[in-house]
Amino acid sequence: MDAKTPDQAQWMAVLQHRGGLALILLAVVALGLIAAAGGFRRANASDAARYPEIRAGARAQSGAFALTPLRAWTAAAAPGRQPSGKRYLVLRLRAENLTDSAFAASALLQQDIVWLADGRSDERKAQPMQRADDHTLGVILQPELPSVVDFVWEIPSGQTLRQPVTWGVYGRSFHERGYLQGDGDAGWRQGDPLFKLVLDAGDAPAGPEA
Amino acid sequence: MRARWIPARLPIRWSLVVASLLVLAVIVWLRRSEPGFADKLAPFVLEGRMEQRVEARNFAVYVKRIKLAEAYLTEGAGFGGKPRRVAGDGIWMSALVEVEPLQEPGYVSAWLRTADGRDYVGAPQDRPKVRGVNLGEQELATGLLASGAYFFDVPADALQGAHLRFFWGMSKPGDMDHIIDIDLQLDPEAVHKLRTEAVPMIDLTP
Repeated sequence: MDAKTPDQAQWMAVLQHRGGLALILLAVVALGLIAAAGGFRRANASDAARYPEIRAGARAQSGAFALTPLRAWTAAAAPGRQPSGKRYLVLRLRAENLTDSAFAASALLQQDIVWLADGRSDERKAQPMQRADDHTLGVILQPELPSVVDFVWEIPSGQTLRQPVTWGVYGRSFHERGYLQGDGDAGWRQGDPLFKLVLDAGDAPAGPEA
Repeated sequence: MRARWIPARLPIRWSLVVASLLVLAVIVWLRRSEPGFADKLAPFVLEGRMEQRVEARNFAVYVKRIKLAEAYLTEGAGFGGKPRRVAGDGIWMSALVEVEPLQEPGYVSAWLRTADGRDYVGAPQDRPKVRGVNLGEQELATGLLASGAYFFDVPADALQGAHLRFFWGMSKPGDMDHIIDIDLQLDPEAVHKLRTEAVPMIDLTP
């Protein structure tokens, strides 16, 4: 006896129909292509590929800036300051302003570098950046004039520093001023996260900057 | 079967088609050649030269001369701090200037615009720390002539053809406000002379 359920009969009808068969084949091919492109892999696995990891001494561009992380360390005081009973994380890097203007450039870079406390997220903003040579605040990033600057974070008491330490860097691109009220001023606007800076943070280096 | 109201053959008036395309092209050209929104709100530039007093809406400047130095010796941090050497990432250019607010107290800021359009802003008060001399971020009184200098950390090769610009305020030039543009007359010969006269360090300690 060759009795078919209504569902089976429906499927048979679809398979016997040339258009139905073509649609099923198309769906299989599409799924295969998505799988081949990595569409079904866990997002965690592709994190490193999405955000290139820049190590000490390597130079990377974020659109408005070129950054070369030099070293990182932890210390009992921010560079040039007196110890205050807290621990600080310091990132020293060479920053180049690739735009044609120094107006507000350092304020933009200040927003673009965040410490990723857990290595992937948990963004922490730095204290106002300071020059590495004389520790003055109010850094000016003049166009095409590389400056070595320090970014400083206070490490919350009880927090274990995850090594290597990871910082996230946002991209920045130029937008013309529009005619609409909400368009904002012309300028370099922050975009998506672009790459990571990954450095081991040892104890404070010997020398006056520590 | 075609409806009766549709003519068998649509007449095409090529002269009208060509005229329409021409009008569209002119509209596109006009839209593209009109100034952008930022250009429409751009400040008004008042041009001048060294050793000439130039008056803007709310202030006047007189640029006496400019000078180069590799570094400055300035007072140290805090009370009794040791004098410190302040080097630039490039070379320091100082402009000796007289500046006068005309209507209200406030700040006059300066920046250096290079021949290729790059903008180098004047140094803040604490670098180089030269109290009473560095006019950057210094509040000025109405009607009182302040004599001092603006300092710029610039690449040595950016000087040729550069202009010195001034605006009222601290952050950036205001929309449709005045800016003063001083031609420093930095031709290759003048730049060479400046660099020859540049000293390794100028002592600015009090």
